[in-house]
Amino acid sequence: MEVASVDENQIYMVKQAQSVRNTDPSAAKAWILTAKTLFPNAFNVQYEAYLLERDTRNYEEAAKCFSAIASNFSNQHEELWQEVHALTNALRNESENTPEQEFYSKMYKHLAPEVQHNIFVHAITNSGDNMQQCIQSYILMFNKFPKTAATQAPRLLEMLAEGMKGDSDVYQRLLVEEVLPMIQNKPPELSPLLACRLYTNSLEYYLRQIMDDDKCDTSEAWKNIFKVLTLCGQMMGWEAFMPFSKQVNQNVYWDKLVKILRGSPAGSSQVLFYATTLFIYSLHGYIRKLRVDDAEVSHVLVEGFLDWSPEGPESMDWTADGGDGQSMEPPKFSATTTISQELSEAFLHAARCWQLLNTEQFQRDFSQLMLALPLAPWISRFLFDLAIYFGHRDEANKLMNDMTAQNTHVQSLQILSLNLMQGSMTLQGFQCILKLLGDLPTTSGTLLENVSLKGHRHMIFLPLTKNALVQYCTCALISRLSRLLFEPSSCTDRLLADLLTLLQLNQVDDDVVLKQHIFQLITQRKSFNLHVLSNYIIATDIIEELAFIWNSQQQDEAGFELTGSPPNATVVGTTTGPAQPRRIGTRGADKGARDEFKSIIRQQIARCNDNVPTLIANFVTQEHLVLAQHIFGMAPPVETIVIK
Amino acid sequence: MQMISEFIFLERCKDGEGRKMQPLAVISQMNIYQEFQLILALIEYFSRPGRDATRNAIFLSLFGSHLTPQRSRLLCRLISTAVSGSVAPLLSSAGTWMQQVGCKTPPSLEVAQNIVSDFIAFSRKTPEQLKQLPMVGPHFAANFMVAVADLYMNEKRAGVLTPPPDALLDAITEWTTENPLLCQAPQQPLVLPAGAIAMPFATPFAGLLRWVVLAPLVSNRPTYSQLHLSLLQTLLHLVNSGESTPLHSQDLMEIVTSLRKYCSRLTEAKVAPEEDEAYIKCMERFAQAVQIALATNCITNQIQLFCVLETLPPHTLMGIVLATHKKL
Repeated sequence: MEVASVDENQIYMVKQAQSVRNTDPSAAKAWILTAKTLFPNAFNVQYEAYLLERDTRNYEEAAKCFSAIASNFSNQHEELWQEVHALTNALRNESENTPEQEFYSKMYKHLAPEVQHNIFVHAITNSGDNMQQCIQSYILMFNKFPKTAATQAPRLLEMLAEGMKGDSDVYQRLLVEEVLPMIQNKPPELSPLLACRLYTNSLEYYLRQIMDDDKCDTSEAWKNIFKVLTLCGQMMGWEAFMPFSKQVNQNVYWDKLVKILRGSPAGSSQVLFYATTLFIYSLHGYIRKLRVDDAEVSHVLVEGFLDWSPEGPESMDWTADGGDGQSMEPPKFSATTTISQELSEAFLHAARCWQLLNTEQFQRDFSQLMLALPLAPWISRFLFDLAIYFGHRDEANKLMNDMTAQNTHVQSLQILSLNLMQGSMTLQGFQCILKLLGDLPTTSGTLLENVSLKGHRHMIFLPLTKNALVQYCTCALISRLSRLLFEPSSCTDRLLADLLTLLQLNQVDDDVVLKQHIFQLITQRKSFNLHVLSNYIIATDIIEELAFIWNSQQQDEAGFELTGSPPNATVVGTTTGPAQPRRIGTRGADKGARDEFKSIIRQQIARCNDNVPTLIANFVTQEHLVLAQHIFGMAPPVETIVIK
Repeated sequence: MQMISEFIFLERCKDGEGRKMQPLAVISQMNIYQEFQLILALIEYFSRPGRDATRNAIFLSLFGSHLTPQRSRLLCRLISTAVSGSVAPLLSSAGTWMQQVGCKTPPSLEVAQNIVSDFIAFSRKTPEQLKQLPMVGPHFAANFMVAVADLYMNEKRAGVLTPPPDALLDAITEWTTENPLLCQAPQQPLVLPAGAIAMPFATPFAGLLRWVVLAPLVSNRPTYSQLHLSLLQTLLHLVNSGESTPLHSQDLMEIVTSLRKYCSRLTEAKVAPEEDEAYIKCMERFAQAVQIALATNCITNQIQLFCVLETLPPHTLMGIVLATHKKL
């Protein structure tokens, strides 16, 4: 045995130690102690010593052994590497509470700092192809040794950027949640390309969060986005933008942006990124307010109505010129609901940024950025609204096809609005009206103000409520039908009656003129068939007016006939007129008919508390054939009523 | 000295001849009650604050190296009382006394024996006072270990290997495991009265090492394994403490002698020592201790030791150790 080689002796002693490890740990340690003094440079002896301490959970001694091994035998031994791996794993999952994990964490605390550091370096250099592990090791190292972040962060960030090409979700999360907070206070120097890429990635991460998670605290997310923007700005030496605050008006951001824009060369990336961020921020605000807000009612941007008057019919014709509205001043937003103001501001801000970013200097970079970000659903809606806003009809039509998975109400309304923008009621628009009225939302809401304005073209944020929808559709019909009053050929009794029915909804001054015009026409006629009276006209003022006409005509002994449909007619709307209309003579000869007329009037006035929007909706739905005939001169083919 | 003898211990010569006092001829007149009072007085005195040197001087004057049986008995009682009462200053002086008179001299051994019988013999568990001893009086505890180590597993003294009582073994194992520096306590300089010469210190290493090495021959208690390990660790600690050599090869010779005797008994029984498990275990511990002592340079007269060790029946580890160190 004297000739036995040193190696064999080592192995002999380690084996002896191993043989008694379980039965007599003290003896095993005695063996190892001896072996250590005999072969101070033998890895297997040192490693066995470590294992002994590790297995007895003696973390302090284990740390000593580990330190000794790590400083003397770095990189050479698979076993050591396994331990490093186990150790870093344990540190990564410090929340878990297995005994093993606890041991490693405690042992780590007893390691010499340089050994701790070496462990991470070791883990990083040995992670090979496993990029995620390598990144985790970097993160651990930065956590434990913040100073290393200054020098090592660029390498880590590069790796993250590299990793995002593969599995963007994982690496984005790592970047945003773990790495960025660490380097926040001391941003490292990075190539502008990389810094921009990292910002884009962070932005993408937060946007996904905002879009996918309904419970996500959006102002927190925006705060973070602005933080990251500032950080990346620092890395690239940009002029500092502003920190995020929910209270700050967007105008403040815009002013700052304009200031930076003035001091920057054309197409500078700082303006690009600041403007893009601001754009997305405004866009998000706009979309968020459109979709749901406090009242939980979505809004849709639609074309507002212009008061039509026979004196100036050309006022509506500007759009008919071919949507060439650029020369016109941009439309205003009507204050229809409480949220209109906010919505329009957000929209205009987004539009402003969008226009800036679509100038020649930014256009190319901006479109690339947009491709990288998951904004498609927001952008398409915004662009559509933008096209409507500027009256770009063809573009809006094109964009209409891009929007998918929309709420049917929204879609019908948008199509309707698009059709109205063209200046006249189309078959498609009419079908949209029928569709909307056939499927009204349950939220009743209130009637809006300022839906119809004089003079300037204007936009409305229409809430998706029952009353608002009925109102909008009614306005659309009235504005079309009222023109027919001036075309004698189409101005039938029926048209006048239908208009009166529709006019019941809006009890505003604007309609009074129209009503008076209608009554004037009625008065001029010798006979008048008020076909829809018993079913649909319940508004007191109209009935009073009719009664007055009837009475005055009677006194004048003029040949005036007012004909109502049978009071208990049940099948209304299936024909253009009842088979045998009852005539109410006004010459006093038919006393019975007079009484009957009075009783009808009484009956209708009794109904004056009925829900008018519901009544109108029913009217339009049931009498759509008649209405179509008014508008298009023919009944629309029944099957086309079902659109899409 | 005479006054002390006469007035404190109330000693009288048997035959009235006060001139030439022979210790054995002196008889104390104290009754048990007076003895008890004296012990109380001494304890009280040593508990008072004061200079260590003075206390040590007084202790050494009261109890020299040559004691009458009565005075020796009184000393034993005094020390036991101090141990049970954790009287640190008295134990410190007692430690100094032990070193000055020699830990392995009969008076020290008697004290040690007395402590063992007072605290160990009738109890299975180690009493608390004894457990605390290294903290209360480290110097005394170390010297006590030296003495008590000599009492057991000592073929030279008893002719056979007597294992220490379990409770004593447990206590000492706990002491050394938890106080790695305890075995070095005797190395601390003594506080002695002016002019006194400090006696060479002894460490408990050699004695305790004899226990653990020879233990496999008479006992298989796992505690020995633990004591062995703590001794090795203590030895390793010594590396830092400098030139001291707490292990004399002379002390190790006793181990060799006992092992050799065992081997010859094996040979008589026609068993090869190399295949005897007890012997292998002994040699394993012995070789480990020798290796660590050599590595930490706390062994004297190494060459002589090697020669003696080589005469023992061969053992793998011992072979490795010897081969390694002969090369150097």
